[in-house]
Amino acid sequence: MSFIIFFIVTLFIAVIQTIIPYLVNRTIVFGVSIPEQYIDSKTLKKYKKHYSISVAFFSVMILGSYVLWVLRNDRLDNQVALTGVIIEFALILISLSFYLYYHGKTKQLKQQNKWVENLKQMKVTDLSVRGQDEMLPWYIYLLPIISTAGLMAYTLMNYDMLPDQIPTHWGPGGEADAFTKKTPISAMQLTLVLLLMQSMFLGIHVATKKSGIKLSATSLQASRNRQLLLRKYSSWLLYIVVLAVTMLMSYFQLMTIHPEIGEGSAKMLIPFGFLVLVLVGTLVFAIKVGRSDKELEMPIEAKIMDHDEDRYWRGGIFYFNKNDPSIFVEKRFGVGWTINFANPLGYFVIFLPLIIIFLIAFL
Amino acid sequence: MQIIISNTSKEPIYEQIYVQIKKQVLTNELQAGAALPSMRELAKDLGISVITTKRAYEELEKTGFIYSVVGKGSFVSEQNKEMILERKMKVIEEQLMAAIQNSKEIGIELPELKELLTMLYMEDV
Repeated sequence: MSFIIFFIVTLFIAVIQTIIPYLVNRTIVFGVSIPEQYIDSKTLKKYKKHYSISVAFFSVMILGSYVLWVLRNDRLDNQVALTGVIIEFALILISLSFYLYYHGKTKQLKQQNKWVENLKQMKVTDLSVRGQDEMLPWYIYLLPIISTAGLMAYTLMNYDMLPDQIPTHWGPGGEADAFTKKTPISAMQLTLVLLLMQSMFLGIHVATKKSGIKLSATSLQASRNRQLLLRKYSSWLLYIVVLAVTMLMSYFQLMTIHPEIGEGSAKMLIPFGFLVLVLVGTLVFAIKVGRSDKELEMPIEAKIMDHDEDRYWRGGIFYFNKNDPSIFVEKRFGVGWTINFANPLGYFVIFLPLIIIFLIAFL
Repeated sequence: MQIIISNTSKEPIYEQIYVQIKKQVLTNELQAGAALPSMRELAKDLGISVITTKRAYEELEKTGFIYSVVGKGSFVSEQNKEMILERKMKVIEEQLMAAIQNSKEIGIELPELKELLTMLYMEDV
Protein backbone atom coordinates (compact mmCIF):
# COMPACT_ATOMS: atom_id res chain seq x y z
CA MET A 1 0.00 0.00 0.00
CA SER A 2 2.81 2.40 0.93
CA PHE A 3 4.46 1.73 -2.37
CA ILE A 4 1.31 2.46 -4.41
CA ILE A 5 0.67 5.69 -2.51
CA PHE A 6 4.22 6.97 -2.84
CA PHE A 7 4.37 5.96 -6.48
CA ILE A 8 1.15 7.86 -7.29
CA VAL A 9 2.18 10.97 -5.34
CA THR A 10 5.64 11.05 -6.91
CA LEU A 11 4.22 10.50 -10.37
CA PHE A 12 1.83 13.39 -9.75
CA ILE A 13 4.68 15.67 -8.65
CA ALA A 14 6.70 14.61 -11.71
CA VAL A 15 3.86 15.35 -14.15
CA ILE A 16 3.09 18.74 -12.63
CA GLN A 17 6.75 19.79 -12.46
CA THR A 18 7.27 18.76 -16.07
CA ILE A 19 4.35 20.70 -17.55
CA ILE A 20 4.53 23.82 -15.37
CA PRO A 21 6.19 26.08 -17.99
CA TYR A 22 3.15 25.53 -20.20
CA LEU A 23 0.60 26.25 -17.46
CA VAL A 24 1.89 29.52 -16.05
CA ASN A 25 0.65 32.96 -16.97
CA ARG A 26 1.27 33.67 -20.66
CA THR A 27 3.57 36.62 -20.06
CA ILE A 28 5.67 34.94 -17.37
CA VAL A 29 8.53 32.64 -18.39
CA PHE A 30 10.48 30.93 -15.59
CA GLY A 31 9.37 33.61 -13.16
CA VAL A 32 10.45 36.47 -15.41
CA SER A 33 7.88 38.80 -16.95
CA ILE A 34 8.19 39.01 -20.73
CA PRO A 35 6.43 41.72 -22.75
CA GLU A 36 3.60 40.24 -24.83
CA GLN A 37 5.48 41.19 -28.01
CA TYR A 38 8.25 38.69 -27.26
CA ILE A 39 6.47 35.71 -25.72
CA ASP A 40 6.77 33.76 -28.97
CA SER A 41 10.56 34.11 -28.96
CA LYS A 42 12.27 30.96 -30.26
CA THR A 43 14.86 31.00 -27.47
CA LEU A 44 12.16 31.10 -24.79
CA LYS A 45 10.36 28.18 -26.43
CA LYS A 46 13.64 26.28 -26.49
CA TYR A 47 14.20 26.96 -22.76
CA LYS A 48 10.74 25.67 -21.88
CA LYS A 49 11.22 22.55 -23.97
CA HIS A 50 14.64 21.81 -22.51
CA TYR A 51 13.35 22.27 -18.97
CA SER A 52 10.43 19.90 -19.54
CA ILE A 53 12.53 17.25 -21.24
CA SER A 54 15.17 17.39 -18.47
CA VAL A 55 12.62 17.13 -15.65
CA ALA A 56 10.74 14.35 -17.44
CA PHE A 57 14.00 12.44 -17.97
CA PHE A 58 15.01 12.63 -14.30
CA SER A 59 11.47 11.74 -13.20
CA VAL A 60 11.47 8.56 -15.29
CA MET A 61 14.91 7.63 -13.96
CA ILE A 62 13.97 8.21 -10.33
CA LEU A 63 10.57 6.54 -10.51
CA GLY A 64 12.03 3.63 -12.49
CA SER A 65 14.78 3.07 -9.92
CA TYR A 66 12.24 3.28 -7.11
CA VAL A 67 10.03 0.61 -8.71
CA LEU A 68 13.02 -1.65 -9.36
CA TRP A 69 14.33 -1.15 -5.83
CA VAL A 70 10.99 -2.07 -4.28
CA LEU A 71 10.37 -5.07 -6.55
CA ARG A 72 13.87 -6.56 -6.29
CA ASN A 73 13.52 -7.56 -2.65
CA ASP A 74 10.82 -7.61 -0.09
CA ARG A 75 11.17 -4.24 1.55
CA LEU A 76 9.82 -3.22 4.92
CA ASP A 77 6.88 -0.85 4.77
CA ASN A 78 8.66 1.95 6.61
CA GLN A 79 11.69 1.56 4.34
CA VAL A 80 9.46 1.98 1.32
CA ALA A 81 7.86 5.04 2.89
CA LEU A 82 11.15 6.67 3.89
CA THR A 83 12.64 6.16 0.43
CA GLY A 84 9.39 7.44 -1.05
CA VAL A 85 9.71 10.70 0.88
CA ILE A 86 13.36 11.00 -0.17
CA ILE A 87 12.63 10.56 -3.88
CA GLU A 88 9.80 13.12 -3.69
CA PHE A 89 12.16 15.67 -2.22
CA ALA A 90 14.84 14.74 -4.72
CA LEU A 91 12.44 15.30 -7.59
CA ILE A 92 11.36 18.68 -6.24
CA LEU A 93 14.99 19.72 -5.70
CA ILE A 94 15.98 18.63 -9.21
CA SER A 95 13.13 20.50 -10.89
CA LEU A 96 13.81 23.53 -8.70
CA SER A 97 17.45 23.51 -9.81
CA PHE A 98 16.43 23.40 -13.46
CA TYR A 99 13.92 26.16 -12.79
CA LEU A 100 16.57 28.39 -11.19
CA TYR A 101 18.96 27.73 -14.04
CA TYR A 102 16.42 28.76 -16.68
CA HIS A 103 15.18 31.62 -14.50
CA GLY A 104 18.70 33.06 -14.68
CA LYS A 105 18.98 32.44 -18.41
CA THR A 106 15.60 34.06 -19.12
CA LYS A 107 16.48 37.07 -17.01
CA GLN A 108 19.73 37.43 -18.92
CA LEU A 109 17.97 37.10 -22.26
CA LYS A 110 15.48 39.78 -21.32
CA GLN A 111 18.27 42.15 -20.33
CA GLN A 112 20.52 41.46 -23.31
CA ASN A 113 17.76 41.98 -25.83
CA LYS A 114 16.58 45.13 -24.01
CA TRP A 115 12.99 43.88 -24.19
CA VAL A 116 11.63 46.43 -21.76
CA GLU A 117 13.28 49.49 -23.21
CA ASN A 118 11.16 51.72 -25.42
CA LEU A 119 7.98 50.18 -24.05
CA LYS A 120 5.63 52.23 -21.94
CA GLN A 121 4.77 50.39 -18.74
CA MET A 122 1.21 50.51 -17.53
CA LYS A 123 -1.25 48.95 -15.14
CA VAL A 124 -4.85 48.36 -15.99
CA THR A 125 -8.07 47.36 -14.29
CA ASP A 126 -11.69 47.14 -15.25
CA LEU A 127 -14.21 48.74 -12.90
CA SER A 128 -16.74 46.03 -13.71
CA VAL A 129 -14.49 43.01 -13.22
CA ARG A 130 -15.43 42.61 -9.56
CA GLY A 131 -19.00 41.93 -10.61
CA GLN A 132 -17.84 38.93 -12.61
CA ASP A 133 -16.02 37.26 -9.74
CA GLU A 134 -17.54 33.83 -9.09
CA MET A 135 -15.74 32.70 -5.95
CA LEU A 136 -17.79 30.76 -3.41
CA PRO A 137 -19.33 32.75 -0.54
CA TRP A 138 -17.51 32.49 2.81
CA TYR A 139 -20.50 31.15 4.76
CA ILE A 140 -20.42 27.88 2.84
CA TYR A 141 -17.55 27.00 5.21
CA LEU A 142 -20.00 26.98 8.11
CA LEU A 143 -21.24 23.57 6.96
CA PRO A 144 -18.01 21.62 7.70
CA ILE A 145 -17.34 23.76 10.78
CA ILE A 146 -20.75 22.98 12.29
CA SER A 147 -20.25 19.31 11.48
CA THR A 148 -16.96 19.37 13.41
CA ALA A 149 -18.61 21.09 16.37
CA GLY A 150 -21.21 18.30 16.33
CA LEU A 151 -18.45 15.70 16.27
CA MET A 152 -16.79 17.36 19.27
CA ALA A 153 -20.04 17.25 21.23
CA TYR A 154 -20.53 13.62 20.23
CA THR A 155 -17.00 12.75 21.40
CA LEU A 156 -17.59 14.37 24.78
CA MET A 157 -20.92 12.59 25.17
CA ASN A 158 -19.29 9.23 24.41
CA TYR A 159 -16.11 9.88 26.36
CA ASP A 160 -16.52 6.62 28.32
CA MET A 161 -16.60 4.58 25.15
CA LEU A 162 -13.19 5.82 24.00
CA PRO A 163 -10.31 3.38 24.45
CA ASP A 164 -7.58 4.02 27.05
CA GLN A 165 -5.07 4.58 24.27
CA ILE A 166 -6.07 7.33 21.84
CA PRO A 167 -4.60 6.95 18.33
CA THR A 168 -2.70 10.01 17.09
CA HIS A 169 -1.27 8.81 13.83
CA TRP A 170 -2.43 6.53 11.04
CA GLY A 171 -0.29 4.61 8.55
CA PRO A 172 -0.85 4.53 4.80
CA GLY A 173 -3.21 1.53 5.17
CA GLY A 174 -5.53 3.47 7.49
CA GLU A 175 -4.17 1.55 10.49
CA ALA A 176 -3.50 3.56 13.67
CA ASP A 177 0.20 3.28 14.51
CA ALA A 178 0.84 5.79 17.28
CA PHE A 179 -1.09 6.28 20.51
CA THR A 180 -1.26 8.49 23.55
CA LYS A 181 -2.87 8.14 26.96
CA LYS A 182 -6.56 9.01 27.21
CA THR A 183 -7.27 12.46 28.64
CA PRO A 184 -10.10 14.86 27.74
CA ILE A 185 -7.58 16.84 25.67
CA SER A 186 -6.09 13.89 23.80
CA ALA A 187 -9.61 12.65 23.07
CA MET A 188 -10.46 15.98 21.46
CA GLN A 189 -7.08 16.55 19.81
CA LEU A 190 -8.03 15.35 16.34
CA THR A 191 -11.23 17.39 16.23
CA LEU A 192 -9.38 20.47 17.50
CA VAL A 193 -6.79 20.15 14.76
CA LEU A 194 -9.60 19.71 12.24
CA LEU A 195 -11.36 22.84 13.48
CA LEU A 196 -8.13 24.84 13.23
CA MET A 197 -7.51 23.57 9.71
CA GLN A 198 -11.01 24.58 8.71
CA SER A 199 -10.50 28.07 10.14
CA MET A 200 -7.21 28.35 8.31
CA PHE A 201 -8.84 27.34 5.03
CA LEU A 202 -11.65 29.81 5.66
CA GLY A 203 -9.04 32.50 6.34
CA ILE A 204 -7.23 31.66 3.11
CA HIS A 205 -10.51 31.72 1.22
CA VAL A 206 -11.47 35.16 2.53
CA ALA A 207 -7.98 36.57 1.98
CA THR A 208 -7.92 35.25 -1.58
CA LYS A 209 -11.34 36.66 -2.32
CA LYS A 210 -10.23 40.05 -1.07
CA SER A 211 -7.04 40.01 -3.08
CA GLY A 212 -6.67 42.00 -6.27
CA ILE A 213 -7.91 40.88 -9.68
CA LYS A 214 -4.82 41.67 -11.70
CA LEU A 215 -5.39 42.32 -15.40
CA SER A 216 -2.83 42.68 -18.14
CA ALA A 217 -2.83 45.78 -20.33
CA THR A 218 -1.57 43.88 -23.35
CA SER A 219 -3.85 40.87 -23.08
CA LEU A 220 -6.92 42.16 -21.33
CA GLN A 221 -9.28 39.41 -22.44
CA ALA A 222 -6.92 36.51 -21.79
CA SER A 223 -5.83 37.80 -18.39
CA ARG A 224 -9.40 38.47 -17.29
CA ASN A 225 -10.35 34.96 -18.35
CA ARG A 226 -7.48 33.45 -16.41
CA GLN A 227 -7.91 35.52 -13.26
CA LEU A 228 -11.62 34.80 -13.03
CA LEU A 229 -11.14 31.07 -13.66
CA LEU A 230 -8.25 30.90 -11.20
CA ARG A 231 -10.40 32.54 -8.54
CA LYS A 232 -13.47 30.42 -9.20
CA TYR A 233 -11.75 27.04 -9.49
CA SER A 234 -9.28 27.63 -6.67
CA SER A 235 -12.19 28.41 -4.35
CA TRP A 236 -13.91 25.21 -5.47
CA LEU A 237 -10.76 23.15 -5.04
CA LEU A 238 -10.11 24.59 -1.59
CA TYR A 239 -13.67 23.82 -0.54
CA ILE A 240 -13.50 20.25 -1.90
CA VAL A 241 -10.26 19.75 0.04
CA VAL A 242 -11.88 21.09 3.22
CA LEU A 243 -14.82 18.71 2.79
CA ALA A 244 -12.50 15.78 2.08
CA VAL A 245 -10.26 16.55 5.09
CA THR A 246 -13.35 16.91 7.28
CA MET A 247 -14.72 13.55 6.16
CA LEU A 248 -11.38 11.79 6.54
CA MET A 249 -10.61 13.12 10.02
CA SER A 250 -14.18 12.67 11.22
CA TYR A 251 -13.98 9.09 10.01
CA PHE A 252 -10.81 8.52 12.05
CA GLN A 253 -12.40 10.06 15.12
CA LEU A 254 -15.55 7.94 14.77
CA MET A 255 -13.40 4.87 14.25
CA THR A 256 -11.76 5.55 17.62
CA ILE A 257 -15.17 5.73 19.31
CA HIS A 258 -16.73 2.84 17.35
CA PRO A 259 -13.93 0.44 16.26
CA GLU A 260 -16.45 -1.69 14.34
CA ILE A 261 -16.77 0.87 11.50
CA GLY A 262 -13.04 0.50 10.88
CA GLU A 263 -13.37 -3.14 9.91
CA GLY A 264 -13.25 -4.33 6.34
CA SER A 265 -11.95 -2.44 3.35
CA ALA A 266 -13.30 1.04 4.28
CA LYS A 267 -10.29 1.69 6.50
CA MET A 268 -8.02 1.40 3.48
CA LEU A 269 -10.28 2.82 0.80
CA ILE A 270 -11.26 6.05 2.54
CA PRO A 271 -7.72 7.47 2.96
CA PHE A 272 -6.80 6.25 -0.50
CA GLY A 273 -9.93 7.79 -2.02
CA PHE A 274 -9.05 11.03 -0.25
CA LEU A 275 -5.60 11.04 -1.80
CA VAL A 276 -6.87 10.31 -5.30
CA LEU A 277 -9.59 12.96 -5.03
CA VAL A 278 -7.13 15.66 -3.93
CA LEU A 279 -4.53 14.78 -6.57
CA VAL A 280 -7.00 14.51 -9.46
CA GLY A 281 -8.74 17.69 -8.33
CA THR A 282 -5.45 19.58 -8.25
CA LEU A 283 -4.39 18.28 -11.66
CA VAL A 284 -7.72 19.20 -13.30
CA PHE A 285 -7.55 22.63 -11.65
CA ALA A 286 -3.98 23.24 -12.80
CA ILE A 287 -4.69 22.28 -16.40
CA LYS A 288 -7.99 24.14 -16.65
CA VAL A 289 -6.54 27.37 -15.28
CA GLY A 290 -3.21 26.85 -17.05
CA ARG A 291 -4.82 26.63 -20.48
CA SER A 292 -7.31 29.46 -19.90
CA ASP A 293 -5.15 32.27 -21.27
CA LYS A 294 -3.38 30.46 -24.07
CA GLU A 295 -5.99 30.20 -26.80
CA LEU A 296 -7.12 33.80 -27.06
CA GLU A 297 -4.88 35.55 -29.54
CA MET A 298 -4.74 39.28 -29.06
CA PRO A 299 -3.53 41.93 -31.41
CA ILE A 300 -0.68 43.64 -29.59
CA GLU A 301 -0.50 47.39 -29.37
CA ALA A 302 3.04 48.14 -30.35
CA LYS A 303 4.62 50.25 -27.64
CA ILE A 304 3.16 49.18 -24.31
CA MET A 305 3.78 46.49 -21.72
CA ASP A 306 2.53 45.54 -18.29
CA HIS A 307 4.25 47.17 -15.36
CA ASP A 308 7.48 45.22 -14.88
CA GLU A 309 7.31 43.76 -11.37
CA ASP A 310 10.32 41.46 -11.50
CA ARG A 311 12.06 43.36 -8.75
CA TYR A 312 9.32 42.37 -6.28
CA TRP A 313 9.85 38.67 -7.01
CA ARG A 314 12.89 37.10 -5.35
CA GLY A 315 14.00 34.30 -7.64
CA GLY A 316 10.64 34.60 -9.37
CA ILE A 317 9.11 32.71 -6.45
CA PHE A 318 8.83 34.92 -3.35
CA TYR A 319 6.75 38.09 -3.62
CA PHE A 320 7.62 41.13 -1.50
CA ASN A 321 5.70 44.25 -2.45
CA LYS A 322 4.94 46.79 0.25
CA ASN A 323 2.84 48.89 -2.12
CA ASP A 324 0.48 46.05 -2.97
CA PRO A 325 -2.27 45.72 -0.34
CA SER A 326 -3.20 42.20 -1.54
CA ILE A 327 -2.41 39.28 0.76
CA PHE A 328 -2.35 36.73 -2.05
CA VAL A 329 -1.22 37.10 -5.66
CA GLU A 330 -1.08 34.66 -8.52
CA LYS A 331 2.00 32.47 -8.46
CA ARG A 332 4.65 33.03 -11.09
CA PHE A 333 5.92 29.46 -11.39
CA GLY A 334 2.99 27.12 -10.86
CA VAL A 335 -0.77 27.44 -10.89
CA GLY A 336 -2.41 28.98 -7.85
CA TRP A 337 -1.59 31.61 -5.27
CA THR A 338 1.37 32.79 -3.32
CA ILE A 339 1.55 35.08 -0.34
CA ASN A 340 2.77 38.67 -0.38
CA PHE A 341 5.52 38.43 2.20
CA ALA A 342 5.55 42.19 2.65
CA ASN A 343 2.02 42.10 4.07
CA PRO A 344 2.02 41.05 7.75
CA LEU A 345 -1.65 39.98 7.56
CA GLY A 346 -0.60 37.07 5.36
CA TYR A 347 1.60 35.61 8.09
CA PHE A 348 -1.36 35.78 10.42
CA VAL A 349 -3.63 33.85 8.03
CA ILE A 350 -1.12 31.14 7.11
CA PHE A 351 1.43 30.69 9.85
CA LEU A 352 -0.54 31.27 13.05
CA PRO A 353 -2.92 28.28 12.57
CA LEU A 354 0.03 26.11 11.44
CA ILE A 355 2.01 26.98 14.56
CA ILE A 356 -0.97 26.20 16.80
CA ILE A 357 -1.56 22.89 14.98
CA PHE A 358 2.09 21.93 15.48
CA LEU A 359 1.91 22.91 19.15
CA ILE A 360 -1.17 20.73 19.65
CA ALA A 361 0.39 17.84 17.77
CA PHE A 362 3.76 17.84 19.52
CA LEU A 363 3.03 18.96 23.07
CA MET B 1 -14.76 50.77 -18.11
CA GLN B 2 -11.02 50.43 -17.94
CA ILE B 3 -8.67 52.42 -15.79
CA ILE B 4 -5.18 52.60 -17.21
CA ILE B 5 -2.37 54.08 -15.16
CA SER B 6 1.20 54.67 -16.09
CA ASN B 7 3.99 55.03 -13.58
CA THR B 8 6.09 57.06 -15.99
CA SER B 9 3.39 59.67 -16.56
CA LYS B 10 3.91 63.16 -15.14
CA GLU B 11 0.44 63.16 -13.62
CA PRO B 12 0.25 61.59 -10.18
CA ILE B 13 -1.55 58.23 -10.06
CA TYR B 14 -4.53 59.52 -8.07
CA GLU B 15 -5.10 62.14 -10.74
CA GLN B 16 -4.95 59.58 -13.54
CA ILE B 17 -7.66 57.61 -11.77
CA TYR B 18 -9.66 60.76 -11.08
CA VAL B 19 -9.55 61.95 -14.69
CA GLN B 20 -10.51 58.59 -16.12
CA ILE B 21 -13.45 57.95 -13.82
CA LYS B 22 -14.65 61.52 -14.37
CA LYS B 23 -14.48 61.03 -18.11
CA GLN B 24 -16.45 57.79 -17.90
CA VAL B 25 -19.13 59.48 -15.81
CA LEU B 26 -19.35 62.41 -18.22
CA THR B 27 -19.62 60.18 -21.27
CA ASN B 28 -22.23 58.11 -19.43
CA GLU B 29 -20.10 55.01 -19.73
CA LEU B 30 -20.51 54.85 -15.98
CA GLN B 31 -24.19 55.45 -15.43
CA ALA B 32 -25.78 57.19 -12.49
CA GLY B 33 -26.16 54.83 -9.54
CA ALA B 34 -23.55 52.39 -10.83
CA ALA B 35 -21.45 50.88 -8.05
CA LEU B 36 -17.72 51.48 -8.12
CA PRO B 37 -15.24 49.01 -6.64
CA SER B 38 -14.30 49.95 -3.07
CA MET B 39 -11.10 51.97 -2.59
CA ARG B 40 -9.49 48.88 -1.12
CA GLU B 41 -10.53 46.67 -4.04
CA LEU B 42 -9.37 49.18 -6.63
CA ALA B 43 -6.04 49.55 -4.84
CA LYS B 44 -5.59 45.78 -4.79
CA ASP B 45 -6.61 45.33 -8.43
CA LEU B 46 -4.05 47.92 -9.48
CA GLY B 47 -1.45 46.86 -6.94
CA ILE B 48 -1.12 50.38 -5.54
CA SER B 49 -1.47 51.94 -2.13
CA VAL B 50 -4.94 52.47 -0.66
CA ILE B 51 -3.92 56.08 0.11
CA THR B 52 -3.77 56.73 -3.62
CA THR B 53 -7.22 55.39 -4.44
CA LYS B 54 -8.63 57.09 -1.37
CA ARG B 55 -7.35 60.43 -2.62
CA ALA B 56 -8.84 59.84 -6.09
CA TYR B 57 -12.24 58.93 -4.60
CA GLU B 58 -12.15 61.94 -2.29
CA GLU B 59 -11.54 64.26 -5.23
CA LEU B 60 -14.38 62.62 -7.14
CA GLU B 61 -16.66 63.05 -4.16
CA LYS B 62 -15.65 66.67 -3.68
CA THR B 63 -16.47 67.47 -7.29
CA GLY B 64 -19.72 65.53 -6.99
CA PHE B 65 -19.15 62.81 -9.54
CA ILE B 66 -19.55 60.04 -7.00
CA TYR B 67 -20.95 59.65 -3.50
CA SER B 68 -20.23 57.14 -0.76
CA VAL B 69 -22.58 55.34 1.58
CA VAL B 70 -20.96 54.01 4.74
CA GLY B 71 -20.92 50.23 4.66
CA LYS B 72 -22.21 50.06 1.11
CA GLY B 73 -19.53 51.62 -1.03
CA SER B 74 -19.20 54.33 -3.66
CA PHE B 75 -21.67 55.09 -6.42
CA VAL B 76 -21.90 57.34 -9.43
CA SER B 77 -23.91 60.48 -8.56
CA GLU B 78 -27.29 61.05 -10.14
CA GLN B 79 -27.98 64.80 -10.14
CA ASN B 80 -25.12 67.17 -10.25
CA LYS B 81 -25.04 70.66 -11.67
CA GLU B 82 -21.43 70.78 -12.58
CA MET B 83 -21.59 67.36 -14.10
CA ILE B 84 -24.58 68.18 -16.27
CA LEU B 85 -23.02 71.49 -17.25
CA GLU B 86 -19.86 69.82 -18.23
CA ARG B 87 -21.69 67.14 -20.17
CA LYS B 88 -23.77 69.79 -21.97
CA MET B 89 -20.60 71.68 -22.73
CA LYS B 90 -19.21 68.58 -24.34
CA VAL B 91 -22.32 68.14 -26.47
CA ILE B 92 -22.20 71.79 -27.53
CA GLU B 93 -18.59 71.43 -28.45
CA GLU B 94 -19.35 68.41 -30.57
CA GLN B 95 -22.26 70.09 -32.35
CA LEU B 96 -20.23 73.21 -33.04
CA MET B 97 -17.45 71.05 -34.39
CA ALA B 98 -19.94 69.49 -36.78
CA ALA B 99 -21.16 72.92 -37.87
CA ILE B 100 -17.59 74.06 -38.45
CA GLN B 101 -16.85 70.93 -40.44
CA ASN B 102 -19.88 71.55 -42.63
CA SER B 103 -18.97 75.21 -43.08
CA LYS B 104 -15.49 74.33 -44.19
CA GLU B 105 -16.83 71.87 -46.70
CA ILE B 106 -18.84 74.54 -48.49
CA GLY B 107 -16.31 77.32 -47.94
CA ILE B 108 -18.04 79.45 -45.32
CA GLU B 109 -15.42 81.59 -43.55
CA LEU B 110 -15.23 82.19 -39.80
CA PRO B 111 -16.70 85.76 -39.77
CA GLU B 112 -19.65 84.59 -41.83
CA LEU B 113 -20.24 81.66 -39.49
CA LYS B 114 -19.99 83.90 -36.44
CA GLU B 115 -22.54 86.22 -37.95
CA LEU B 116 -24.91 83.33 -38.61
CA LEU B 117 -24.45 82.09 -35.05
CA THR B 118 -25.12 85.54 -33.58
CA MET B 119 -28.22 85.97 -35.71
CA LEU B 120 -29.64 82.58 -34.75
CA TYR B 121 -28.75 83.15 -31.09
CA MET B 122 -30.59 86.52 -30.98
CA GLU B 123 -33.59 85.25 -32.89
CA ASP B 124 -34.19 82.38 -30.53
CA VAL B 125 -34.53 84.67 -27.48
